Order: sequence, then C-alpha cells, then structure tokens
Amino acid sequence: MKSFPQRVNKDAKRLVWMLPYGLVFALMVSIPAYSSSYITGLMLITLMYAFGSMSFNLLLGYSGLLSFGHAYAWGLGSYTVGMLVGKGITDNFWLVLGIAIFVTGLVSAFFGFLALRTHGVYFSFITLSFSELLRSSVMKWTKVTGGENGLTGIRRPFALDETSYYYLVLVGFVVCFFIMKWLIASWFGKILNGIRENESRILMLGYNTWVYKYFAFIFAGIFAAIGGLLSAYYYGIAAPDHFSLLVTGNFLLGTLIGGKRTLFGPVLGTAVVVGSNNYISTYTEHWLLIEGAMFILVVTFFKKGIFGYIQEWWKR
Amino acid sequence: MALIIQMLNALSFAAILFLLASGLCLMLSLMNVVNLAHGSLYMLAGYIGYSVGQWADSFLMALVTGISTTALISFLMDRIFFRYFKDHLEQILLTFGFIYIFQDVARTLWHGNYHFVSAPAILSGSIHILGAVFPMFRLCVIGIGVFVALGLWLLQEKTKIGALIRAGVDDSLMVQALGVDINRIFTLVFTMAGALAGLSGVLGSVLIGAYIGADLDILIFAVVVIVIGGLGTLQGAMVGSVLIGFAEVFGRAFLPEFAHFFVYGVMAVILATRPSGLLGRTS
Repeated sequence: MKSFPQRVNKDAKRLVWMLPYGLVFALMVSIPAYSSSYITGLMLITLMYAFGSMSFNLLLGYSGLLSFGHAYAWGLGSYTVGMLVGKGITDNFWLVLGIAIFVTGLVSAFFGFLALRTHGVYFSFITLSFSELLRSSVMKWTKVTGGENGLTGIRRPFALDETSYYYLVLVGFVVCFFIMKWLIASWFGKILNGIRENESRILMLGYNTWVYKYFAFIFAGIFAAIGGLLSAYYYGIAAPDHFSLLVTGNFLLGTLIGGKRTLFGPVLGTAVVVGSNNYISTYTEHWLLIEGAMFILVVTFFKKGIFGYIQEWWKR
Repeated sequence: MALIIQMLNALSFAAILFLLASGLCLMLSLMNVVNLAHGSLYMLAGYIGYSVGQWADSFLMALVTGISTTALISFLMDRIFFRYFKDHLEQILLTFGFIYIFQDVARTLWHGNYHFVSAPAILSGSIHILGAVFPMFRLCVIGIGVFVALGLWLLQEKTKIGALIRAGVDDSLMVQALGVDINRIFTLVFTMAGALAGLSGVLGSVLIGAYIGADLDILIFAVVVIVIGGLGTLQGAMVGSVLIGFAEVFGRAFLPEFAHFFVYGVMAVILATRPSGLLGRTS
C-alpha cells in the first residue's frame, strides 16, 4: 500500500522534469516571432556556442578531463567551411558537414592519442598547445588559410535569411542535444562517470578506460566542430581567433555557470555568458576585466552552477 | 657565421624561457599549483619595464621595478588566493580569470601598443670574438640564464631551504608534521617565481617586445617546456628550454611558414615516446 503514492510521486516528479524541456523548446521556437532580431541573434549565438560547452561538459563534467584547447575543434569546423565554401569549392551544406566531421574526427583521433598518454594538468597543457599549434599554423600559412585575416566570402547554406538560419541551427541543436542526452545515459556515459570518480576501480573491473576516454575525446571534438561550422556560416568568416584560448574560456565559463555534469546547465550558462558579454560591451570596454572577475567569483562562491544548485534543492 | 648568430638567438630565447618555466615548474611540483597567470606577469613586467625605463631613463630601474612588482603580485596571489584553492581545476579557473584581468589592465594602461624596453647603453653594442660579431645584450641574457640556473640548483641542492623544498615536493604533510611551517616556504617559492617571471619579462621585452597577447604566447612556450622536461625537475625545465629555444629560432629562420611545427613536433615526438617527459619521474 505504501508504494502506490510513492510511485505517483515519482511519475509526477518525472513529469515536472519533462515540463521545462517542452517550455524551453516552445520558447525557442517562438522567439523570432515576437522578439527583436537582436534577441534572436543572441539566441542563435548561444545555441552555436552551446555545442561547444555541451561537448566541453562531456569531457570535464562527465569524464573529468579538462581539455584546455577545446577550441581546436571549433576552429577546425569553422575552417572547413572557410576552405570549402569560402574558396568556392562546394556549396553543398551536407557535404561540408560530412567533411568537417571526418576531418575533426581524424585530427581528434591523433590529438587524443597523444594527449591521453598523460593525466591531470598535463592533459590540459597538451590540449592547450594543440589548439595553439593550429592557431599559429593558420596565422602563418597565409597562402592557404588567409593568415590573420582568415577566410571570408562564406554564404549561408540554402541562401537562408537570419530567421530561417536560426531554425536550422535550432533543429541541429535539438538533434545533437538528444544524442548527447542518450549518450550520457547510456552504458558509455556511465563508464565515463566511473572513470571520473575512480579510474583505477573501473580498470580493475576489466574495462579499458583509455578507449572510453579516447572515444569521448573524439566525440566531443566532432560535436564542437559542428558548432564552429555553424558559427562560420553565420558570421561568414573563419578567423584564427576561432582557435584561441578565449573561445575555450567561453565554453569553460558557460559550463561552470550553468553547472557541470548537468545536461542543460552548459546551455543555460552559455546563454548567461553570451548575454552578459553583449550587455557589458555596450556599456564599457572593460568586458575582459568583468569576465575575469566572473571567473574568480564563480570559482569562489558559485562552485556548483545554476543547475547544480537546482538539483541539490530538488533532491531534498 | 649566420649559424653562430642563430645559436646565440636560440640560447638567449632559451634563457628567457627558462626563467619563466622554472618558476612555473617549481610552483607545480612543490605546491601542486597551476598558475596560468605566470605569462601575464611576464607581460606586465615588460610593460612596466618599458614605462619606467622611459621615465627614469635607466635600465636598472626598469629591471628592479619590473621584478619587484611581479614578485609583489605573486606574493599577494599566494596569500589571498592559492592558500585556499587546492584543487587543480579551481586554480586553473582562478588564474584564467587573472589572465583576463591582467590583459584588461595592460590594454587600459598601455592601450595595447607594442613596446620595446631599451637595452642599457653599455650593453647595446657588440663585441668581436675571432672575427665574429656578438651582440652584447644577448650574451648577457644567456649569462643571466646560466647564473640563475646555477643559483637555483645550488639553492635546491645545497641549502637548508632547498632541502625543505625538496622534502615538500615529496611529502608536504610529513614536512609539516616535523614542525616546519610549509606555508612560509610556499610563499617564498611563490615570490621567487614571481620575481623570476619579472626578470624574464623585462629581459624578454628588450628582445621580443611587450604586447597584448605576449602573456599567452610565452605561457604556451613555458607549458611546452614543462611538458617536455617532465614533472617537477629543474633539470627538465633547463633541457626543455634549450630544446624549445633551438626548435623555435631555427624553425623561424629556415622554414618561417611552419616555424611552430618544429616546437610542437619536438613535443609530439617526446610525448609519443616518453609520456612523462624527458627527465620526468615515472610515478
């Protein structure tokens, strides 16, 4: 007799959990209809950056790997568009997407092979140097990559206007969001969690932890590359800055503000970062100062992030 | 002839890298602190050195001000922050925030301009040895690098403080249990690392110049040096600096478009064969 009301309670809780998804989705779909193009633009930027932060969270939050050069994948996605579309080789969106995924997968496989030979802070250092390697390469190799000016002349796929492009990005985002959700809930995600908690124990259970981390690294790279690709189409440029540490910094800050190890946290956190960056930069030039202060404040007073605190409150 | 000049350039760059990387390495191995803002100290020292050098017209003043400012910043960062942040992730985030803040300070005070610290008049000439011309200042930088390396080695191996530092690297809890106030040693190392970053910054800004972005450029070189050299050994930082100095300068001289591939190529080869670095301890 006791189990019945508890079960109802559980189902009700699950329903309440599903509700926000529906609400957020409805909100995102309707945004271009009722708000200004400025807000739509901010949402678009948020969604694109969310690819980066969500994949960053897969590594940091779930697998415990702090990839300090995650921008390498973002930049690869963006430069694939620059090389193919900007130079007029092809206009086929799906072909570009496929090539971006393939190239990033290949490069990630190589980077991951080297970087995952190390642990902890050395992993962060090495991934950082990889992204810097790519950044300095595209800066120097002017003939092919356009040097400091980057590659321009990128037209949006299917000649979409901003609102239609927003819907394209939204659909892509929803698909990838649910792939990520499924991945994290799966067997694979559980083992990644275990690796973060206690790697040697997972090793003792007979799993080759290296392989799991390796595939998480490659997958996260591909995910971020899609974001970079979408942003290159949006801005119409692939620039060396897309490989910079500041891009990784945005992923990191978004993940932390929203709450790492939560699915929706990085998305919300990215919205906060994008929104505040835009807001601050209209009032003062010192957005770097304020973003730096945000890092320090988050580390000091807001360790669990928005969704981390919501989860804690919910579990009570 | 050109080869000798390039070697000299490589060695002087290696000396500057070593001054920075040794501090980073000491902080990481002894205190388990990742201080990404170390490159920012380098940049600040360069800018301060430039301004003071202009104002007082004295290289020595520039050097002293640059070093003491960064030492003070480093001291304060240890006292205010690092004492309470023991987790690597937290430290990385914290120092990442400092990178932003210092960059903003540099942008505000120096408007993002490119400045060179002017070398002292006595050292701005060159000397002739066996028919070859050597710029005095570069020789001097190499000399300072060797001198500091020797000094650090003596400090670490021959003095009581060095013994405590080495003991702290191995087991800081045990050192504390023996009645040593390890926090004071930590502060000392931190301040010393800050001073070395300042020295490196002022000297480096004579050769390379101070600019916005120098903080990250030099930080990444220092990070590669540490990765190559291996965890927590001064010798590792030394070998790594020389290797990277040569890779960078010779790469730039002979294949300018792909200069950085030499640096990262060296790193990739070493990582693939010896993941713990050349002289790293395998744990």
